Amino acid sequence: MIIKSLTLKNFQCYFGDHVDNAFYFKEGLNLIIGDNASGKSKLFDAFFWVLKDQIFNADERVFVFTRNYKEKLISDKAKRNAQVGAKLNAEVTLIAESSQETLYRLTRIYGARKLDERQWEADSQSKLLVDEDKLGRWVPVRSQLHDSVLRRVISRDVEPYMWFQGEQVDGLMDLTDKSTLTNVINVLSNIQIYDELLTISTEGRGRAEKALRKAQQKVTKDQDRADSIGREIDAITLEIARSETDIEDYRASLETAKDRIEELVNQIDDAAKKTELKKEAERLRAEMIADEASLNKRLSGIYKNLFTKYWILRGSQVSLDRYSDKYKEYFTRHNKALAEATASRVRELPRDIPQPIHVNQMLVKERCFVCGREAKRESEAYKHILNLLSPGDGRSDEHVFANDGSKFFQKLYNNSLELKRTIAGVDESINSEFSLIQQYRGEIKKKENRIKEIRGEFTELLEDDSSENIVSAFRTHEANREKYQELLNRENRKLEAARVRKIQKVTELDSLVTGAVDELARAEDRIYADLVEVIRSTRNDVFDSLISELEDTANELFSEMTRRNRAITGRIRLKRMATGNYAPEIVDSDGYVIHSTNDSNIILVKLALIMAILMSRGKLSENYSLISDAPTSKMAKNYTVGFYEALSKNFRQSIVMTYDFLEGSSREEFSNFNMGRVYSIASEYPSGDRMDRSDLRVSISEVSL
Amino acid sequence: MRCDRDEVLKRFLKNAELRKRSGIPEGELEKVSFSQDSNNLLVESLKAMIYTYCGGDANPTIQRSIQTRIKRYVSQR
Repeated sequence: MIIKSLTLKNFQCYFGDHVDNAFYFKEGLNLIIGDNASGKSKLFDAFFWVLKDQIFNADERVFVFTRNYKEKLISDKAKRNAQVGAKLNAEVTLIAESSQETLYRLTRIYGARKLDERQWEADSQSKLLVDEDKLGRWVPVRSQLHDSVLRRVISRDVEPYMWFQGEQVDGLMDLTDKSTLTNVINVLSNIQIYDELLTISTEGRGRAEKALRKAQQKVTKDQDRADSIGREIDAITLEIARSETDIEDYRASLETAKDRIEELVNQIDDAAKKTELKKEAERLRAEMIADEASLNKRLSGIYKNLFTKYWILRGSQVSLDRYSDKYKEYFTRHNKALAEATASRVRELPRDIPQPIHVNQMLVKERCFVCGREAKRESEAYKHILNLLSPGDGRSDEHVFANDGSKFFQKLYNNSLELKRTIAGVDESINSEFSLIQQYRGEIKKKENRIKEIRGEFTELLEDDSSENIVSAFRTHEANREKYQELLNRENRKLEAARVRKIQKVTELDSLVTGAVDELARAEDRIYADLVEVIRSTRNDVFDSLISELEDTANELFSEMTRRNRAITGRIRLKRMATGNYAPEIVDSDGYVIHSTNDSNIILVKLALIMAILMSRGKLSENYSLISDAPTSKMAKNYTVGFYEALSKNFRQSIVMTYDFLEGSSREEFSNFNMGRVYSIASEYPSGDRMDRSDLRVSISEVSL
Repeated sequence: MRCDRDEVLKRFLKNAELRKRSGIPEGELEKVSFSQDSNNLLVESLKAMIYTYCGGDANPTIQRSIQTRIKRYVSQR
């Protein structure tokens, strides 16, 4: 909803009735300009009080409920003027308009009775009245619906980021906490839709897996074995979940160690040397990761090479040569036996063919006497009849030996000849592979040593600059970095092995199934597994795309805000951490992080990010007002105009309490802005005694632009 | 409505993992909508999930909608 007006009655320093303390707002940038102690923060408190029934206790620097603040809420001047026994109320009325152009009036009232000049009897709680404008008449809204109206003025999730004081900006976006940006994005974007869908599908997956296993166990040939495998699968699933948690923890600890090292290194003064060493260390680490990956790939391929590169045949040439000799002997004896068998065979006619005289007559007549066919000379039939005179023995070589393995032995011999060349190369192949492995190991060792040296050089530089504590801290964090990296690597290997075992067990369980498993159970298991992966992947797509849009929008806003200042301010980069969080940093044109950035820059970065996030969900910057008390309190003057311009361009309505533009001439900047209304406020002490708080009131005047 | 179901579905239809697991080519996947059955069990289960979730239903109802869709598909085969 857009805020139309705020009026106050005897609320803190705002003495008088609603008509005496009235602010009317429009779309665009609305400003309430006032010096220190003029009532700006109390005005911000008034917005807050109407919505949340809480007030900022300036002494304790915390928000407290009205019932704990008691009569301090009421104007001192009004309390001084009241008679003993009189009841006084502090009231704030806010009127807001919904997107359907319906007006709502919210009035919060809190009273106290004057017992004597010093004592008051305050109400136990405040009262909230909510009315809706129906055809020009205010009609009360039922108390059950009050909450819904309040949420439409400002949603609870969004409120810290749209209603804030300048001193709170640091806390809204703590750049030292790497999960902050991710948490803010989670709150303000719609990414939680995908998180919830993932939770739902993961739960479904768990149930579907169990249901399938139950269905499989019903039709298994070995119930006991199936039950046992089922229990093993459950145990491995738990193991996988534990590993995943540990991996998250190790990643976070590793990130922390890296961050601490970065912080300490940045304390070193010798910038050029520091940059050079950092670049070299980064390069070496990247190369080491690549080398380790190549090494692992080669190591894991060694067993495969036994068969794919025939390493298993290493040293087998001697055996093959012996076989070759034996085969040659065999071959000679085999052929000799064949030849002898062939020679000894007498040519004779088979018993079931005509006598030779008949065969001769068939040849003369050129006709077969058995079937009556013509058998012209040179024809196949003629040749066939001729063969009957010398049929051969009609038996193949196979009939010479009871068991003839000659073909098999020949094949082996041929294979051994083919393998000879391969075997000759095996030694070289093995040596070459292991030599490469040694090379990788050597490179990795060399780089590890150089990184250690760099660490030593950083320590020396730190020692030159800093106290022993810092040097000792640096060594501790370096040791932690190594430790957590090793733990992370180990846990990743464990997780991978557990996943492989789970697949093996599931396959084993499947192999015990003898009957038809319920098709529905199978389908559910499969579909839920797919759903989980699809939702997880889509969620990451959406988040990455959100980050990319955020970075662009934040940089546009940052540029707008800083364009009047010629100093180098850098660019916002959202860096993805190993934990999956994103952390904002300011980088130079080469992509290097700018450290020792001034406070103004940091505040602007945070505001740019918050505004970018609010704008990413268009509804937020369109449907809610941004209300801020002194947002530029920590900014350099040159940035403030840029900030207001960005606000006026990108938010449908903003209401800002500020001490900027106190000088009338500085308000010329407004000419290009989308302006709402501008007020000037000042504290007044009619009696002239500025020490007398019980005489305090606020004067309000609208500024015409 | 908890969210805009068409918007949410559109996001999913751009996802490479969905393309891979459903086996539906990119051009065809873009045409999927709530008004027509895609004849693909994974896509229909996903649609059921999005529809009931965005409609504001609770977890058990969402799970049942997916199971109903799967059951219908299996019984039709």
